[in-house]
Amino acid sequence: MIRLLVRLLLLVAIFPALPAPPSAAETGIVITEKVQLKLADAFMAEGEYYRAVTEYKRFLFLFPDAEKADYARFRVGLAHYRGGEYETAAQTFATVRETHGTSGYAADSGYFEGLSLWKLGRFDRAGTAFDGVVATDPASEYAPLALLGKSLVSFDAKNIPGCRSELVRFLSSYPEDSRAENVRETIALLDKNQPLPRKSPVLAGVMSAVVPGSGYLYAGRTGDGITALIVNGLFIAGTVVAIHQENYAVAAIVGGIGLPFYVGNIYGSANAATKWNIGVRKDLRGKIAVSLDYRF
Amino acid sequence: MSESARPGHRHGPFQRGPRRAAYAAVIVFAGCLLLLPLHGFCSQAGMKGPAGPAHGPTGDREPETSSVRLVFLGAIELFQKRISPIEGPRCGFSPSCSAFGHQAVREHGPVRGVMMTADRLMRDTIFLEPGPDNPLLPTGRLFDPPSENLLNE
Repeated sequence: MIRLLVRLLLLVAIFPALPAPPSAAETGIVITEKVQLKLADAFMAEGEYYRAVTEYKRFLFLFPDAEKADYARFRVGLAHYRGGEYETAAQTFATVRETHGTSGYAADSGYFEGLSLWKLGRFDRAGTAFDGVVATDPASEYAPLALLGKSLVSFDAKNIPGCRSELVRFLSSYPEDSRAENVRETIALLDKNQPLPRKSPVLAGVMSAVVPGSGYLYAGRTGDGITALIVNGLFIAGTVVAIHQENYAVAAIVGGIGLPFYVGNIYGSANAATKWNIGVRKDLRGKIAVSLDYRF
Repeated sequence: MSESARPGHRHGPFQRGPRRAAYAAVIVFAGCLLLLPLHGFCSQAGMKGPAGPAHGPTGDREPETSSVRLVFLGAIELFQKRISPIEGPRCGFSPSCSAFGHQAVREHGPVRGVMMTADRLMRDTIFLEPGPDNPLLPTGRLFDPPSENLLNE
């Protein structure tokens, strides 16, 4: 019995000295720059942009002097851009461009800053950002793309001559670029559609004021024109007949109800002409984007 | 009996006087009906102040203060609650014409809202067909919000 007790005491005494099992040593996680960036990139690749932003920011917090800090900051902007937060994206890209001007991400940031501003509808600032990419790093792969971007920004800003001049600038700056032929085709397309066909909203409104529905016909809306003519014709005829019959109360009621339709017919005709113009512009814009093979 | 001798027949420049006056009265009355919302438009302009907090799309709007706008919105709401359910949804557009009118009057005032609604009512016909202006939604209706009808190029 005593021998057994001694053996047990010995066993208890030597237990702490036993080596730990190998699996226990491997469960610890050491966060290195590489691991943290890999995690952030994994979220980015999966489309988890907001989590990716968190992880890139964690990287910048843990390793502020890391060699890849410019990369992490650029990717924060890119995650915001892909997540549809263009305002924050533009601000982040501007910060990267200003604080890491000599890094390899300055041109990339400038280009994506231009895209973000474009998405926000700030065409002037987008054009300036694209110009900055071409001016600071013309050899960058983003420089020709920035010129193409600026030509489309000019188009969206209703400046078709400006759009054409940017394409000409592209051909003179990058004549050997693989997209040069596409650019030539696009210039020919623009020349073919100059001046852009247009319907005057004012004329459409005046036409419908004189003959209800005629403004819709002018704007290519035959069905709406016929409807407006019938509806307004009936109201006008009803009012006139009621007055001829000296039934003034009925005339006032019919005229009162018909008047908004008459004014609505004028407004609608002008609106139809406006939509026609927008349609023509959108159609040409789509053709240009396809011709340039420009995707972003 | 000669024409001039018929009872009630009048000669001279005042021959059609009462009828002309009636035409003028109808036009003035109709004009007043159209101008009536301007009162609301003006009073709305008077209420403008510093921009308040942004409102969400559901419910938490500022209470309506323009009386004319309230009348138009009330009439549309009455139609939506009492008349429209009788035959069910029939509008070919989304939002429906009443929802379009409600939104147009609320966001753009009674004058422009009424014009936009009248235009929409004249477009909701058998000639309705999908196009780049009015894309077809999965519900089978054509998308046509007030924001697409503001005369903005």
